[in-house]
Amino acid sequence: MRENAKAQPEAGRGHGLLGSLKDALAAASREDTAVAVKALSAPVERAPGAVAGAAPARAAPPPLPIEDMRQQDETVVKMEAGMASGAANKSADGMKAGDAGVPSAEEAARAVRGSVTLKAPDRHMEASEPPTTRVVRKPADGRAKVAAADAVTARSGDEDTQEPRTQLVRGRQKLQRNDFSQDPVVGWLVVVGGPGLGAFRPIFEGNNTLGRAKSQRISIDFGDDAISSEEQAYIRYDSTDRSFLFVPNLAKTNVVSVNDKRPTGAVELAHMDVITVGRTQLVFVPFCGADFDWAELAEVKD
Amino acid sequence: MSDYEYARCATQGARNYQEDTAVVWPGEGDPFAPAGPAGDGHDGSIVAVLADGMGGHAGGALASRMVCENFLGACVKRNGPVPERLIAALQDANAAVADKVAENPMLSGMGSTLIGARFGEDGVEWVSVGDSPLLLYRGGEIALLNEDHSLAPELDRLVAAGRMTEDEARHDPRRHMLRSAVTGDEIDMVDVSRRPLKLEPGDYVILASDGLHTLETSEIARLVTAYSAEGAEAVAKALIREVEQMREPHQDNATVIAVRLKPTS
Repeated sequence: MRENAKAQPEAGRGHGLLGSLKDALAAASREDTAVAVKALSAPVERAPGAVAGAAPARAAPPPLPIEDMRQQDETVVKMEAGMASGAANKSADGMKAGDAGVPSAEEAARAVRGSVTLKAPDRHMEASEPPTTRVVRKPADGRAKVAAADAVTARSGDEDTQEPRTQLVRGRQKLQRNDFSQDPVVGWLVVVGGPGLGAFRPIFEGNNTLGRAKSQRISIDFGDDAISSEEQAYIRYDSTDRSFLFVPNLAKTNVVSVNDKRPTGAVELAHMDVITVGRTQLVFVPFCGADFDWAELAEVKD
Repeated sequence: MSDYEYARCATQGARNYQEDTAVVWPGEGDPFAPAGPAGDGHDGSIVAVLADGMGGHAGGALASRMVCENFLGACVKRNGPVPERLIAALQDANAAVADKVAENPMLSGMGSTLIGARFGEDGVEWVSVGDSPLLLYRGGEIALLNEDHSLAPELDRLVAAGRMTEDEARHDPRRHMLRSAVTGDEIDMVDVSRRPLKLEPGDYVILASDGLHTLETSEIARLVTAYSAEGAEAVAKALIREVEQMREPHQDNATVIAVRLKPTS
């Protein structure tokens, strides 16, 4: 790298000289404030032949290579000539404001920082912010964005009483995973033959009644009269062993079959099993099973 | 007569898309084209705009580009006091996002942060929305000029109040949530400079996207110190190179614009 190559001899020479300065600075026991992070700076003797008053960019020797700086946490970095004149004073008195009326970065920043908002004044509310800052809240209509200050305090104080309603979210979205808006689906039956070809019906957790009537949890209501209106069969999903059972209702006259067998008792269903009821063929597609169950969500961390 | 030297540099980080946009006026030819390392305004002033988009692949990149272009277009067209121009330009940019979302509801949720900084004879003045840092480097120190509209300051306050540990706060996902952004909606918080900040020789003003936060503030100060003599381009490149060298597995897009007074030679 260009910089490194030419910085090497300079850096080597610099270390001896700067090393003693480093000690001096350490002796001055400066304090690092939390606000402004300071890199050590110190005056450096001009290289012989350097023209006094030359442009800072020219007068300052090339910088130390970054790798060197890493190794020595306190490596003293050469500053531009203009800065250097004040640097000795600065380091001695804790690098406060520069001399010659030039405020430090933090002081300069403080002088010009400010904040306004575009909203109408009646919407403003001062919060526990620095005086120039306004946290803006909308009227408490429950749906509006609230000041994030509130959101945070509410959340960490009392975990579930109030979700943050801040709408702008970056990074990973916080997902709602505590209440279901409907019965969680655990699998599907897809019509692959007969009336309703191409349609599907969800299978829910627990016991599902299968029949033609709308009241059935699995309602095969595509017009196949050969299906009993109620409880032609049952499909059960058991979340403890994560298995699906097909249970024919033997009290019904219509015969049902699974994969061309005619079960007289409960049979376990597997992926892509074909169930025939009346003149309708259904394929079973599980969602829950060995790989997933809704109970796992409780363990998922967002 | 002020004269500024600036440079831009960007990295995609670990993402396969770039949602940051950074433009400086006057650029080469088209005023909205990404500017090269050397550009002069007629009065020596420049306008630097940086936006960090959000809202998924298409939306984020589109939002940041729209915000930058509309802001810049509005800012350089207008006359009058600089702070008013900056705020009006921000409103124009916001309105453009609103129009776009109305036109294509698929894009709703897209938005962007914005730093618009004008470097003129009186110094630098800015308007800022979101959490993209605007930094002042002076005499080996780094100070944050604009206000951070993410939840990070709130979390830090909780730490200070003893209601959260520093470690929890640092890894809290809410750290990256924004309290304010340019989304086409009403903008909740806008940070505007109270008065121009006069730059001193040797000062750098750095506009960055929050991907730069991979570096500690002290590290940023150290890098700028090391490269300050070589000019804006060396500083911008050094910062981005260092971000890339950290090899963070989830490194966000990082973009910087470094500006300094042209050295008098």
